[in-house]
Amino acid sequence: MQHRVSSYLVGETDTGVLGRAIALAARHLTVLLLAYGLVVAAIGAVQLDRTINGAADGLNSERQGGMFASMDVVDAHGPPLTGLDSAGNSSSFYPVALDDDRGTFIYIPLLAHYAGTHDLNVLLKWFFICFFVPLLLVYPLLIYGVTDSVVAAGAAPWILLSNSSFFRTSGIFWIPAWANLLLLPLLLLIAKRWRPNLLWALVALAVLGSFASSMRANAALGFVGGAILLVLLRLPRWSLRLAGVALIALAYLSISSFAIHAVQVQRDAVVGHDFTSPYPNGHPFWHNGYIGLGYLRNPYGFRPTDAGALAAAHRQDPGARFPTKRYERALRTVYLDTLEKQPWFVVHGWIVKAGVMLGLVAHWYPFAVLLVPLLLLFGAERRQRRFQFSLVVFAGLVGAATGVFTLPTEIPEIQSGWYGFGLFLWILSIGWAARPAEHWAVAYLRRRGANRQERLRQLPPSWAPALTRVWWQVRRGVVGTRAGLRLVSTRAATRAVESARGLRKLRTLSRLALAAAVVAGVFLANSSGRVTDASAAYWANEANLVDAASIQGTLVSRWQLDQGVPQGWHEFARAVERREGELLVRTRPSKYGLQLSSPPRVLEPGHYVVAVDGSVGAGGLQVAAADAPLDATVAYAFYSAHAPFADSRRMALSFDLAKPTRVSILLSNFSVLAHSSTWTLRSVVLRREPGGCQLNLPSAYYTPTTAVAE
Amino acid sequence: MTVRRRASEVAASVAALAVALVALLALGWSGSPVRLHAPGAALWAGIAAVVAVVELQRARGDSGRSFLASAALCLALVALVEAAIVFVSFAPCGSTCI
Repeated sequence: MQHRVSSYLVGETDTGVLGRAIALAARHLTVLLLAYGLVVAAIGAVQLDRTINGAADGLNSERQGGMFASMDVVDAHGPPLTGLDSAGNSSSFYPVALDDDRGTFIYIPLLAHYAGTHDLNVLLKWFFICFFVPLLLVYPLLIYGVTDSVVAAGAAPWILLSNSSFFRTSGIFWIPAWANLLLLPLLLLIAKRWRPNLLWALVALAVLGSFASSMRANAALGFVGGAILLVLLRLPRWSLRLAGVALIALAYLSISSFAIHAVQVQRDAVVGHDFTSPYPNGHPFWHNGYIGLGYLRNPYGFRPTDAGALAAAHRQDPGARFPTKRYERALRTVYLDTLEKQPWFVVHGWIVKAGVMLGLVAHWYPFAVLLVPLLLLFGAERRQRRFQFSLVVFAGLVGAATGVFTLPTEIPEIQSGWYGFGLFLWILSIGWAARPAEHWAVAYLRRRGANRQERLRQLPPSWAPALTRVWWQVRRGVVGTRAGLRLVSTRAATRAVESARGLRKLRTLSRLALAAAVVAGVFLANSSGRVTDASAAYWANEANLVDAASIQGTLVSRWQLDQGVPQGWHEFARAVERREGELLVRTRPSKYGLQLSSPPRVLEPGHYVVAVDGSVGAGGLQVAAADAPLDATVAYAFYSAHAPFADSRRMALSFDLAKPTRVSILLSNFSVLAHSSTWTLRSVVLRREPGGCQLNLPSAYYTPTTAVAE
Repeated sequence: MTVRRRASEVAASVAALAVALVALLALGWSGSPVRLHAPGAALWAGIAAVVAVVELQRARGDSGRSFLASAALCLALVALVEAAIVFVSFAPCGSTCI
């Protein structure tokens, strides 16, 4: 507000074009920002419509299947959250989204029903656009209201638009980011203009947050944390504070818990079966927690896969069925037992994952990481900034906790809330940094205007000859420029001297050290986090080595690699070298790049095992069987340098063929960070096992779509 | 007399608050001992909202009674939103489902 008043004063003192323009803009700033938002929103809508292709790609096939099933039932005037299983003449309802947040499985089929389409890509694209474009519309106003910075207000919607590419095709996983981006500035605006009556606005926003949380668990929990803190700090009496907290909490539960539960109970009444009480109200919590235990390589058998969690629950309680409450209880017991028996393993995992999450912010918003600590520790308005930060930090904690508890993988499904928090903090930090500069610019323009008026009074009267007037204009320009430059240099010198004096103070130095430590810590977390995440990705994907003696069956092909690349094989590696009876391969630096491929061979239907004798020195290796004419993968397995290689162990792959198929064996690079890998290879053997799979290996079953001829 | 009247006035606000709370919780709280369907919840939330609005008209702006009435109105509106979600979810299914 003070900023706007100053801007009006610029117009009063500086009657030039710039001064009058600033004064005019300041007078109609609300309308201008709204019009600006409207233009950006229109451009954003067109751009999003053009660029979003495959909006449903972020949803796995189970989620898509559940939505399609529910769409069919809703179109047939059936109840929500239900699919129809037709077998012969009988049909029965079954519940959908038992292991997911139910909201989208209610809203999207409704939208499909009224829009008259089942095209999930179109529905999810417009669902996103309808939520995101209003954000672009109001953001200039909101950000100006929060930061008083015209620069931040102008930049904010473009920053939003450009950074939305992370989550815009994620299906529904953009919701936590959207909730943070909308609710956090509104919370700060309410905090800035606080009156006790604004408690009701917080309650209304908590209902909106509850709507978001009905689609993605805890999407607006961070906002609720900030709102509760604001109520506790600002309401005058404890009775009022407690009442306010209770109201916000109830409002936050209203849709995500109560209404969604009511819909399920009503659905049960319609279909005549209890599909609600055996299952949790949202997606499984301890299942994801168990998966999170397997993030780091460990000797306890935890693997970051659904199959690992299912097996653990079965071991704990053989009757526990995914995703029932009983299943959740079994995994909760496993998790808490592990925490009790191996506390350092669990806590170490949390710390490492927290580091990876912190590093991601440096990867996404490096300038925000530089700016925020400095702005929180320095400047005349640092206390106000700290207060604002304390209100929004809950959203960051909730977003980060998701990755710390589960996996810190850089996908919107996990990172949406954290990414949205970081994005808002980046925009907020621009406002924090720009506001003092804008104040200084306005003050400068005021002084310049005052000086200009003073000089105008010194000008010769209007009856002076034209030449004299031109001379005076030029002189005024030169004098004005020199005065301006002198003013700027004097101010800069004064600031520098003041800063140098200030630097001597221990307090300033310690603040500077703290800011530097925070920034360095976050950037270090980024670099080490990427390595950790790559190591975790190997651990998550790699197969077990197989004892060579256990691989039986009829020999189909044997390729010796110790004498060099066999005849008929294709080589794409960066370097291949024979050394001491082994073939040393240095791959090309790519994530998955083919390095060596065998000649294709027609295999009869049956069960096959590929055994690779060798080891991975650095990086990883993918061994795959491919249907050569179709260029389709029959089966694949990953191995990394972390595997316990030995002469008696083999990298193995097994697959079943339903029809005669022309198969090639492929050895490809597997490097999460797209680096070069090194392998040592001795032989590749292909065997057919007549009695089916004898090894403890997952076997892919492949049916080619075309017939082959030798 | 004045004390009794003031007590009854506050009681009206508290009653509105309680009715709104019941409408909110009884609709979707899994452990609710008084389960309501959406029409029942909407009806009780509507009654609570009307009582709360009357109370708001009669109460002084900054009094405790005004706060209670505002809270009752707020909860009633939240319960109505909640009931509306249930209604809308079953709209294609028709009146037989709700």
